Amino acid sequence: METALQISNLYKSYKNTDFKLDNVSFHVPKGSIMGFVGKNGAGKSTTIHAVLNIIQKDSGEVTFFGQTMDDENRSIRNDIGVVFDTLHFSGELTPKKLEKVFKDIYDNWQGEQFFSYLNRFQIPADKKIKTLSRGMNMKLSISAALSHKAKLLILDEATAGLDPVAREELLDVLLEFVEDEDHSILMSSHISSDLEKVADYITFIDQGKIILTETKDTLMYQYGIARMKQSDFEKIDPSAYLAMRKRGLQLEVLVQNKREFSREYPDIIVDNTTIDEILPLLTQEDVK
Amino acid sequence: MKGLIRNNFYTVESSLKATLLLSFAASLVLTIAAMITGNSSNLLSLIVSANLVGYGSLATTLIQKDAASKWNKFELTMPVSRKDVVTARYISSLLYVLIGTFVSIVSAFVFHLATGSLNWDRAGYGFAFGIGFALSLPTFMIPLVISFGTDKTEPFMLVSIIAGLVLFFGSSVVTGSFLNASEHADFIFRLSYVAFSIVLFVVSYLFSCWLYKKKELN
Repeated sequence: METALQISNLYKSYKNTDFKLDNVSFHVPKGSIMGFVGKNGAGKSTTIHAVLNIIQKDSGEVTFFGQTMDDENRSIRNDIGVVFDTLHFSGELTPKKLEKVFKDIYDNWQGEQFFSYLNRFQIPADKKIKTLSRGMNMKLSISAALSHKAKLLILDEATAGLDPVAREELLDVLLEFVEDEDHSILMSSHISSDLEKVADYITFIDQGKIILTETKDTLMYQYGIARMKQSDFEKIDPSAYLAMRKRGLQLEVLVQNKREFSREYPDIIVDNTTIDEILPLLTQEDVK
Repeated sequence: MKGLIRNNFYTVESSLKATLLLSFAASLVLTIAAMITGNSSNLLSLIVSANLVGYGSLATTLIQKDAASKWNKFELTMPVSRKDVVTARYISSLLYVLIGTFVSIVSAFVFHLATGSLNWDRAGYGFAFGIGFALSLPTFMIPLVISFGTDKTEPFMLVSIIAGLVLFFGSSVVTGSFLNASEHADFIFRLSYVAFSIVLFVVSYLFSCWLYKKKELN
C-alpha cells in the first residue's frame, strides 16, 4: 500500500512539562482520509506541528510520498495543503490579494480554481478577510489549500466552531478531493461525527502516544460496547475485551469483535459503538 | 520570496496609506510654519527625520500584524525556507525605509521651493538620524520577537526605540570625543552613524536567520 505520509517513532519532549510525543507512529495511505482523534492536549496539534516542521522533533522520521521534508526541501511543501483551526492569513488582505500572494509562492498555483471555490462558497473576493465570518474564513483556507494541486491535505481541527451546514459543505469538498484515489487527507477533529462521515481510518492518540489505528468500518461494524453488571463482568475472559469503564452500577466494556463476543456471552447485550464512545474508553485508566 | 514580500506590503497597506496621509499633512503644516516663522533649518530636519521614522516603523507594524494573524506559523507550511521568511521581512523593512527616504527627499524639495531655503547641514542631520533610527527598529525588534515570542511585541517595540536612541546618542558621544577638533566632525559622525546602522542591520539579519532556523512556533 502506497503511503502519502509516514510517521515513524516521532519523539518530542518539552522542558518544564511532562508532556511528550512518545514515539508516535502511523501512516496515511494514499487515497484515504485518516481521522486523528484525541482529547484536548492529547498531542494531535503537536504531532501535526512536528510533522510540518513548525516545531522541531527530537527524533523520529517523517516522510511525505517517500521523501523526508526538511527546511530546504521546498518542493514537497508544494504538494501539501494545510488548514489550521483558525485562519492564519492577515486580516488586512482580501481573498483577491491573497490569490496574488499565493501565485508568487506555489509552483502549481491555480488561480481559476481558487476563484471557482470562492464562487462556490460565496466568499466575496474584494472584502477584507477580517470582515468575513468564521465559516467563510475556514472555507477560504480550504479554497487556498485545494488550489495548488496539493496531494495531501493536513487539517488541524478545521471544522471546529462551524455550523452543521458549513461543516457538511467542507466535508463534501474533502470527499471530492480524495475521489481520484491519488489525494489523501490527515484530519484531526474533535467532532467525531465528521470523521464517521468521511474518514477511512481513525488513529487515536492519548498523552502523546498512539493507542489505536483502525479502519473506520472495523470500528463501526466490528467493535462494540457490551453493557453489564459487575457480576457478569467477573465471568468474562480478560482477553475478550480491550477496555472497560464504570458508569453508575453498569460497566461498559469495549470489545473488538462484537459477533464473537455475543457468541461467547449470549446473555450480555452488545451495542454498536461510535468514535465518541470508544475514545473515553480507550483513554481512561482502566484500559488494559 | 516575492509572494512573502507582497504579503508583507498588503499586510501594512492601510498603515502605509495612513502614514502617507499623515506625512503629507505634517510636512505641509511644518512647511507653512517655516514660511511663517522663518525658522526653516530645524523644521526641515524634523520633516525629513519624522518621515523616515514614520515609514521605518512600518516594520514593527508588520511584525505585530503577522503575530496577530498567525501568518508567521502558516508561512512555514508553504514552499519557502525559514531563511526566505527572515529575508523577506528584512527586505520589506528596508523597502519601507527606502519609501521614507523618497518621501523625505520630495518633502525637502517642496520645502525648498516653498521657503526658498535649504539648509543642507540640517537636511543631512535629518536624513542621518531618520535612516539610522528607522533601520534600528527592525534591527532590534526582529531578533527580539524571534527569540522571545510574538506575544510581547509592544515591549519589544519600546526596547527597539530606546536602543535606537541610545545608539544615536551613544554614537554621538563616542565619535564626538574623537572628532572634536575636526572641521567636518558633524558630517563624519552622521556618515559613520548611518554606516554603523547598516552594519548592525546586516548583523541582525544574519543573527535572525540563525535564530529562526531553530525557532518553534505554537
